[in-house]
Amino acid sequence: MLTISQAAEYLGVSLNTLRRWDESGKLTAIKKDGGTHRYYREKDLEIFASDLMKFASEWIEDGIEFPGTFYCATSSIFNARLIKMEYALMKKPGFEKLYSLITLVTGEIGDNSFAHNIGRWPDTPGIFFGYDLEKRIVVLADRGLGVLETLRQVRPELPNHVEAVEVAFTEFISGRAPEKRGNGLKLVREVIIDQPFDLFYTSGDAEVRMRGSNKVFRVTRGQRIVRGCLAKIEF
Amino acid sequence: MFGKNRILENNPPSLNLPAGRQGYGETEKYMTLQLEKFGKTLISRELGGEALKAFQSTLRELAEDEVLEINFSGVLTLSPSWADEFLSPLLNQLGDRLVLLSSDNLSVQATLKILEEVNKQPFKNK
Repeated sequence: MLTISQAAEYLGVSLNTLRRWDESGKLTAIKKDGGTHRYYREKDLEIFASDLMKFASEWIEDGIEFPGTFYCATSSIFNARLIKMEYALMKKPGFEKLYSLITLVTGEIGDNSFAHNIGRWPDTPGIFFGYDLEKRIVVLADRGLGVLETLRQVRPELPNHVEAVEVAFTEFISGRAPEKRGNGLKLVREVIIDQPFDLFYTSGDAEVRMRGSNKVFRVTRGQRIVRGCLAKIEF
Repeated sequence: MFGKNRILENNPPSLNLPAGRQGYGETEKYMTLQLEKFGKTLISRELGGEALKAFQSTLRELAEDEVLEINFSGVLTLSPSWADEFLSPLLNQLGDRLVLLSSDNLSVQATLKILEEVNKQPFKNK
């Protein structure tokens, strides 16, 4: 059993957050013999921290706090954590060569968030970056301006999120200044089509779902409007 | 950064080339840049730009008749954003005098392919 301080360190949140989560039932603590001290089973914390998509989508939709271990406030923190993932992936059987393409896709999507929002984050700077190599999943999210607003700086005529995401993934935009959006997402699309990876990407109400063996790239309009960007890569 | 442990090697091909490899001709000079000196994981656009700035002073030493050879060995991941900030300007500046050594790394191969599309200009390979 872990104490509340140990649990706070494990998840990277404050004691107050854990108390609040206990009171709201989001993460219930154990109290021994009717006492007031809160305790946690490590296994429960592990399960709690494993729902990456839930944390990422709740954060960008409603600003709900998530375990700090997934937070990269700056691009250097993101780079450091990405290198850690890359080394772990290299050792995974079957990924001795593919690791570099998973790192590339993850790195491009994450770096895009920083490159397009630097100095202009609407509220919380930085990104959510979580991965689970056992489940073969990477989740990235940001509460930035989103693809439409950043692309409108070079394409003011873009009418909606769907067309903006379409452009971001398919067109080479020449004379990119001041918007440094180049070729990264284009290569992400090609890699996902060629390799046994699946991608879910959303920004605004635009959604890209590329799954299975006959993958096609198509942007559709979803039900929800997402703040910034959210991406899930499965491999 | 480029002091004792210089990233450029400036040797006559005969000293540096394994037997059987094609050189640049008897008189042609070249320099080799080991790209991994900038890191093994080359992802961010910002750091690609920083790498190019750091490389400028060394690049000025490249003679007009010299070839700059890029060796990717040791690089684990190369992303198009990093490479667009580093390799695309070098390609514009040097043209045929920029030569890329082949790599079996999948991210290097994919990135170079897309940069050729972006720049509408193929890289010279060796």
